[in-house]
Amino acid sequence: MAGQAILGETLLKQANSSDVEVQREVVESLVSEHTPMVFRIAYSILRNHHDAEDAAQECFLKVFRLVQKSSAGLAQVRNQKTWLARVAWTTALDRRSRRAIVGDHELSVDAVLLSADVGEPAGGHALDQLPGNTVATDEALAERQMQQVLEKLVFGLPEDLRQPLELSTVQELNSTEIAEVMDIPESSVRTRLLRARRLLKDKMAILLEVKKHG
Amino acid sequence: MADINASQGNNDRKLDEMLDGLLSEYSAAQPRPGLEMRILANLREQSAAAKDESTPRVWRWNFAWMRVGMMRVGIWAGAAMATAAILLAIYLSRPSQQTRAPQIVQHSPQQEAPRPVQQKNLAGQDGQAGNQLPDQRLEELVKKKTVKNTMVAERQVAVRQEVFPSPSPLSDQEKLLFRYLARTPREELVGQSHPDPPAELSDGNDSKESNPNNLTQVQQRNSNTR
Repeated sequence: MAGQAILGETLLKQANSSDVEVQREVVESLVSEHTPMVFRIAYSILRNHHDAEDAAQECFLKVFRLVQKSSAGLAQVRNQKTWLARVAWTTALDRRSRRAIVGDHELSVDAVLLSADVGEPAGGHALDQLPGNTVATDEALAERQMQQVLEKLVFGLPEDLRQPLELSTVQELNSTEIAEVMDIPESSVRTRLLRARRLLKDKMAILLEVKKHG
Repeated sequence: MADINASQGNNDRKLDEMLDGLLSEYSAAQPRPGLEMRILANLREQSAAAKDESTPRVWRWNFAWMRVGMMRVGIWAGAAMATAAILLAIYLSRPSQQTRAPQIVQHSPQQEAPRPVQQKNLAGQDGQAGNQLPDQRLEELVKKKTVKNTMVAERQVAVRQEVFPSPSPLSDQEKLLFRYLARTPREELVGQSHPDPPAELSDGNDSKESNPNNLTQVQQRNSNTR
């Protein structure tokens, strides 16, 4: 952690210099080191490869512009990784909100449950293919379908619970770093994660019961 | 009862395990190969654009300074030109004031009687005789000044005046003519003013009229009466 902070300080000192080439090299080093993390953060929010890649590119361009602008804001950055993760997170959230405004509607959990009750093809199709208590023959396919259901359930969570849960699925971030990214206390992150898991578990139990009893 | 609780506990555990497994795979996606290269290429484009932007900025900055300098120079030049124009106008207005008031000035030596102050000044200008000048010398100076004034007046009359015909004093011939008109009776004047009777052209036998010299005399007389 301390090593990362020192590395971040070194990079940001280099970034303070006015040479464009040096600034680009600084950002390039960030790209080579943190691209997978940035992509996963974007993917955890956007749930789409193409959008996540676009968001990653946008994130690094933002970083380059920030490095170019001035050293006032960047000089205070201690941890380069969490700073970059925050930029990626906000970029992905902006992109998702833009997508929602454009009208790319996603199914909510209520819609999933409702469609399961009514038997509509959108959500009901996934529920029909949910594995029961018995071990499925094609486990890979079942797991993929379960992932789709989980996505819909996570999307139905309240915003304050959904965001830390999405970030917690990124393997590069622990609860302390999530707290830094979200700018909230670490205890709040843990509490929200517990509540989010409990809600997801309850909903999954309901879904499984519905599936079991037809 | 214990079986039910045990089965519920098993279900919870299974659900937890399932949820953990699903969440661990939730963001386990990998970027497609080449993403890093694309990002780097974008960054290079961006830095090149930033370089291009930074170069004209310097030019713009220099140009701004040049503009400021040119404005200052222009302001000073304008002020200098305005001052020169004012001075020129003042210089040109002096002779125009002299020509604007054309007056017939007839100076007489009596009118130009030297005042004591002028005498003092003249005496001071002379500087040869000091404060006490002889009367003869003083008279000469007064005469000179009078001549100068009359010459200036003549020059002013020669300048074109606003009223046409310009008023001028009567000449000697005009005075004589007026005097003659005043003394001569009106009937005589009217009688003299009748034009001559036109020349009667008679037959071709007339020796006078046939003479070409006489004919030209008649024509000249007609033109004079006209």
